[in-house]
Amino acid sequence: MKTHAAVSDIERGKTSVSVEQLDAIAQVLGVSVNDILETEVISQGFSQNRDSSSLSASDKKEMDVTTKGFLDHIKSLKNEK
Amino acid sequence: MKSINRQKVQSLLRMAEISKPPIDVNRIAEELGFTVVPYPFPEKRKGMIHIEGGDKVIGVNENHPKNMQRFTVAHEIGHYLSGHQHYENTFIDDEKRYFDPHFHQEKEADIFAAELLMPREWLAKDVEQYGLDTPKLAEIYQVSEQAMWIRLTSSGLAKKHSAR
Repeated sequence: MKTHAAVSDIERGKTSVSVEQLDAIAQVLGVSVNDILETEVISQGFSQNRDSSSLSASDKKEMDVTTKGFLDHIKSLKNEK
Repeated sequence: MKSINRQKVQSLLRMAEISKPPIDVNRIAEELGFTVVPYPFPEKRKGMIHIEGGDKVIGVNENHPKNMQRFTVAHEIGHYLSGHQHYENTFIDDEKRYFDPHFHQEKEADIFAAELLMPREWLAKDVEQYGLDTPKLAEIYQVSEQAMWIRLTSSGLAKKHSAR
């Protein structure tokens, strides 16, 4: 059984949970491992948002500048060939 | 959805003649007609996919760790093969994305990427051999330990192994 402090460390990302512990936690919480992992995946930033309409004006501008820079880079690579 | 992903991945592996890990994800991208271009994107941008005319390019943030770059390329292939329409690829760390209609596409692409980099059938055999030695398995598949840990649990392999 984990202490409150240990659980707190897990929640704050200070320590990780073993796969066996994850199964045990899921059983205690009455949820599936996938339910926990769905939150985990999101919190670890694997997922990415492609909808630029939700961006702030500065983020949108940065995205446009970066995209243009990358496309120019592709063009230059193409011209080198 | 998972079985479709598995079928797609098996086809890709056959097409690229890849029969063991680690998966050469750039080779798979090339088989699909993409050029993978490393580029110094801002930190929060992992990569992007660009398709125009006959040009098919996957840009990947060259400053990110190699394992993350591999995941990004696999993620972009997932978008492409799923027919997703929005190609801008920026990681935004805010809660709005939970309500974003495009967010599920990101999850789909992540699930696909995990299957591509860590095919379940292969991983199941390696779990038989190495148990739940996450660092060892991560090394074999050239993914982060975190990605391997998530894969082992979400695929049910960890539970299956633990129950023995």
